[in-house]
Amino acid sequence: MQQHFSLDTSIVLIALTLSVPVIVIVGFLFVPATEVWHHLADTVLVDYISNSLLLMIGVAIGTFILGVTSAWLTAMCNFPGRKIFEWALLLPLAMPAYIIAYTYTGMLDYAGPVQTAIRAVTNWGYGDYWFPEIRSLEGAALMLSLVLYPYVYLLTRAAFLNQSLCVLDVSRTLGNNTWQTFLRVALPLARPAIAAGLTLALMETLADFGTVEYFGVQTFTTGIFRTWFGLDDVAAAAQLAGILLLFVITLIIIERYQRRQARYHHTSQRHQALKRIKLHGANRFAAFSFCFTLLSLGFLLPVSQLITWLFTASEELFDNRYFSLVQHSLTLAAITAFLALVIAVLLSYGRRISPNKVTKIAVGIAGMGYAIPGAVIAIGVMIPFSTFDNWLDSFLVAQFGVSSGLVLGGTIFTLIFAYLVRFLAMSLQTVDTGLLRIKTSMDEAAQSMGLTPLQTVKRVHIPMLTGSLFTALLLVFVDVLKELPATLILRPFNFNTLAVRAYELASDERLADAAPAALTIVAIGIIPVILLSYSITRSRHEHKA
Amino acid sequence: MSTKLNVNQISINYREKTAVEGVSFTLEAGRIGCLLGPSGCGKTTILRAISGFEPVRKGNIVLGDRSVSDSNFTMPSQERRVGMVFQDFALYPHLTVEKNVQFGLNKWSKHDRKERAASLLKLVKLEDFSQRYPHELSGGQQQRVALIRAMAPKPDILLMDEPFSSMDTELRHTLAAEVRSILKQENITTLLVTHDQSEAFAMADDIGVMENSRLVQWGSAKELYFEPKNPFVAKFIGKSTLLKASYKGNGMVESPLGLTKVKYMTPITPISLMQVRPQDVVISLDSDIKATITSALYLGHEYLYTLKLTDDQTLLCVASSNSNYKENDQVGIKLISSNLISYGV
Repeated sequence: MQQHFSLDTSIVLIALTLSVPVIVIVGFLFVPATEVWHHLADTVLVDYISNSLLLMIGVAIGTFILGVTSAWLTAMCNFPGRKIFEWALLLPLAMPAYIIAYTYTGMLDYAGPVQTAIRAVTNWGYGDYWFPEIRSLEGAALMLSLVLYPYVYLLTRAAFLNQSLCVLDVSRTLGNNTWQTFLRVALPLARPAIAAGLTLALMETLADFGTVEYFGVQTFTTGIFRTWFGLDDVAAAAQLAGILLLFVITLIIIERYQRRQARYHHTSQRHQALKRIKLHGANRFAAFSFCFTLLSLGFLLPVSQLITWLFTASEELFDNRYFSLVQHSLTLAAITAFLALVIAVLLSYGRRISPNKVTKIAVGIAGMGYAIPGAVIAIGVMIPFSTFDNWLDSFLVAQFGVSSGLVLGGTIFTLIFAYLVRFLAMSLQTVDTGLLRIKTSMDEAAQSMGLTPLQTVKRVHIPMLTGSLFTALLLVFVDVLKELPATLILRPFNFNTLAVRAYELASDERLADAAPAALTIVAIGIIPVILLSYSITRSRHEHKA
Repeated sequence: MSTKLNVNQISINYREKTAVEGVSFTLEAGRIGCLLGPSGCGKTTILRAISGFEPVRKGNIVLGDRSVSDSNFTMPSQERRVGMVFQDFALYPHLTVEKNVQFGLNKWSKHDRKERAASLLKLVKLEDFSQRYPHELSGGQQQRVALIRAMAPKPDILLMDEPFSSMDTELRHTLAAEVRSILKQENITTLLVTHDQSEAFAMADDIGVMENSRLVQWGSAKELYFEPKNPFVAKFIGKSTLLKASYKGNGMVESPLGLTKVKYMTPITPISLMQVRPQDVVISLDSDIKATITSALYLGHEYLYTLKLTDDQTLLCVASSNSNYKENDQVGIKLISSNLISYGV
């Protein structure tokens, strides 16, 4: 009992610590507005809200069309290349939105290969023709859709594959053709999965900073930056972050509500695997073209462009500077991934050993950071840390006449803490899933065969968990590597990472010079995508067995 | 014969509720015992207390000559020498069948380990599957691996929690017979838990019926069938109906079926219940006791009729598959059994 009590207390303490940024931001919603805030409210706030909403609508439509269509085609139909597309369509997940954004800008601007080719073919000159402006709100929605549709694709495809042939056959016997069956049965049945996928995509959209900033679209995240760095108003920045947080919370509530409304997705006890529709002629070609175009736009083209830039970059590519970036990024990612794993194992085991409401809620709180945009977390970390620094400094000056300077603010520690708040969920969820596979009866079986708890951990838990622990490390590692907004706000002075450098060079219109850093991020980002598609294939096979 | 398991007046709380109250029974070496009862009656909790996963609030448990549980002491499971077969088998997915069987033998020499696993695998005819992983086996095969894994360290007693609940009916019956013969062959004292009467009858020498945290009767299958101690056991075992009757003295009760000699379980009360099984009653057209057929279920080898008596009580009755009564037919019935039992209310 005593042991459980101290375990519960530690879990609650960890959860409280990790929820400090959110508490701070929510707290600021109740702080009286400053002059800057009034100014923001009079001038740009409406833009922030309307742009964020329009962007969300655009991304929702884009990811829905791209994600559901590709999921339907690869799950239900047979056409050339389907087996490759099944996993390849996940590849855009490896591409951070800000990287695809500046790659497309490079490809589509006046001096880029597309317009140059048009001019070469038509002999037109500058101003002779109209060309869509990619650096716009519509462009941002398109860029985000191209890299975020895999969330919808992944979950919807799984939902389609889990649908039993029986329910689809019933629809056919009742007189619906394939297309009607899709619209009237398969699509509504997949609704909870589609909603979950859209929610993930929209959360990423709200969190995005790099794309909208680069395209000059004013949203909450860019507003937070401007207010923090440009107007130097902490409270107003925190209040903007607070409103952004309300958007995220609304999104989560809508998704939960949706899920509750739609508890009908398992209708048949008997599961019969789907028989794929064999496509012929024009349909076959159309299916292939759709998937191939999607893969090209979301991954192949931007990667080819980045590789092309490698050869045209003005700087020496892989110089000391590059390696110091890699070193910074890898160090941050490795430390965060390791700490997140340790905390996740502690929380997950804690809840297993002492399963009660308190630990359940605490672990839930510790894992909610993933829904919160990096910029919000960064502001929520910065404020209490600098307050502490100021307090400590004035205390030391008053007592001992020495100044402590910055102890927490502007250090790697601050940055890692923010990463932990944001990415612990990845680790936690992976460890949880792994631990769930070890049923209580397995522990008890080991014990009844004479094993002590420690021996059980060694002979049952560790071998069964190794895969999950490794995956947890990897997921956080890659996410930290790709993270941009929190790193920009919290990084120590003159401390650059791959993501920050790629963003800075791209902002200075040195697109080609940004290619090495960007490609490195994409290359490392592919690893978890491969792992993901492998684990999906494996679980399908195990399911069949 | 020596006593292997002695459960003495134990009470167990589970999540602050009383799950088991004052339960006592003993199991002799080599016998197969079974706790039978509806779900939530506390039978699995007793099993978990014997295996050391639940502490007892009152009473004690003695395994062989060692007291393993009382209100102040719970010997850790790993020191008890009990083998446990779990409802979900709890096979380790990361280990082969052979390694699963050897799991509890880490103190044995490598040679002995291999030999023990090989002989057990042979016993359950799985010698060709030793290098497979659990997910590559059928449900029945997994069950047998779980059984021999628990048997491998030669435990003092084997405990089985709803061992066949995940199987379909046919497999359940074959496996029950197979497992019983293995346990008898190896002379392993076993206690199992089930809610399925046919499973209990097929497997066990001694059966305890549980109701609401209490053990209501402990005895052989025949004793339970022919001499159920209370109305709950009477209804739970076999398809009996309990007819309202009144006690007339001298072991006689009067019911809609007439004045009948019964064995009366104490306490005697004026208003009584008389247990009538389907085979205790026959349709006899010249009988004065009339009933209406409310449903006729054709079972192939016989008919099972549901009858409504003149006072609206219902009764079950079996008849030959040649009989051909329909719903709403009026028939005469009479009692043919001499082993009827009555209970006070």
